[in-house]
Amino acid sequence: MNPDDPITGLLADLAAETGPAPARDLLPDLLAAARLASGHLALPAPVDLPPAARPYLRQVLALTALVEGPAADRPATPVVNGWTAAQVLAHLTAVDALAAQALGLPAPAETGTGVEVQARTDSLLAALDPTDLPGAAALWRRQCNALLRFCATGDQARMQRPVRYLGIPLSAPDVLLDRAFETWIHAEDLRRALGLEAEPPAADDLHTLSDLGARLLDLTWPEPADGPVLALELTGPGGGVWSVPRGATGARASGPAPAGGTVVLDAVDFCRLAGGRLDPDAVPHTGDAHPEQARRLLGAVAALARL
Amino acid sequence: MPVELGAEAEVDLVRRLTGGDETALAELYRAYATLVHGVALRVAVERAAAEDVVQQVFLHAWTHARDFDPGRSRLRSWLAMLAHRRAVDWVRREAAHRRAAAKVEDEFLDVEEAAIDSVVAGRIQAAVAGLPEQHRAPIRMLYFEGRSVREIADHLGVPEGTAKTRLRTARQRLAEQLHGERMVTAE
Repeated sequence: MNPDDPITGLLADLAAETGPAPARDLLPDLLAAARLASGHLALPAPVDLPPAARPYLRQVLALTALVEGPAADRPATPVVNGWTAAQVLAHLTAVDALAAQALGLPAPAETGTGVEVQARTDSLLAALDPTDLPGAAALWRRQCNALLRFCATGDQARMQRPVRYLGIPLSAPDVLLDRAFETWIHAEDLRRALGLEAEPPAADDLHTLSDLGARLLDLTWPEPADGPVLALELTGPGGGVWSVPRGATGARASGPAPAGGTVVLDAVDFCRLAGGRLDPDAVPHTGDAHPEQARRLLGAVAALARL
Repeated sequence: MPVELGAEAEVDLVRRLTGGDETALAELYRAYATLVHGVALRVAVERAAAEDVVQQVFLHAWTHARDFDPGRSRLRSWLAMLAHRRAVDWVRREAAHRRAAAKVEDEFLDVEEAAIDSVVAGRIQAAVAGLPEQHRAPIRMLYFEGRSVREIADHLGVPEGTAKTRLRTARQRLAEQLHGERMVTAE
């Protein structure tokens, strides 16, 4: 068929008027594929990755665009923790390497030494020129590439088994979501340092990352397991409702209103709080939970940053 | 319904796509994803296949924007053609997989794309032939005789708005008739 064919024209009009539209927004994956096609990153395409790895790919691409774009001309700008952009990338490289090891990949010597985040990060910082952003970026991308290619082509059965990551038992998909989360947090740090607008993850990814955070609250929740159940309601794109602490059926809230009431906050704020970028005593929130319960819940979210 | 682009806006959009402007790709997607997905779904039926086709078509538009000639056709026609081709390719690959798995003769395994196009055209023409005359006539005049809506209205002796309404109704009836029916059967 050619564009001028009457059948093509009729099919196009039928489709345009009656659809249906895709059931989900395909634009994030499309943009990721376009960046891969345009650039030199040699990363797997989204379609070749399991769903849990795609948010990580998208955040790697977004941070790469920052590093090769606005950040390239300002390598000495302080970003976070007194680090430059190169030092932030070195830290990400260190933690990405620990994630790769948890999934069964070897971690090359160039990705640092040490089994703890601080020690491994320090080993990389000691060898790094703080303003060598291209060098730090190349190392970080090699590690990202290795991790993503493992997800695309590695032992899928291994991807289903629980692993131990930074001392915490997690599923392999959750390890990848954690990498997506931290990559986004540091991309936010860089945008803030450069005076750029914030760029939250796409709604689907934001919901997935929020779900991870809500599930991990079991690790930081201060109440005994039989204490009052709260509902955590996250608003905005990617939002949802979760029970805290989780019941036997999982984290999502369902059924009658929980005895402890509801704490409501913006989904992006929740993620920033979980990433240690907001103060739990100052994060905007509403809901009918007792203020002390709300304070404990928000404190538990903030404690995720120290895991 | 997404707002499609006018001719001048198309030329500008293609220029921006060629220059690597990602916002142009997002605009293209927002304007035409429903069209591309709808074409793909009607040929391949399976949603996962249709979503893959959507990705392929827009990625092709991104990497081959220079191939589009605004003097020859409109973006919607170009994208619809790409969607149709990719969906037919999917159907042929599925047929090949099934044949390899079951060692069953498959009429589409070695059939050229032109022959598959003929099957698609036949199904659509059969659906058009099944419309009542008051809907079949404007469809035939617009798509198969290349007449304008104004000419169709004059021929039918109705206002232009009535002609447009009949065309819209005709397309809705065609869509209902073709709903869920794979254009190209590869069982």
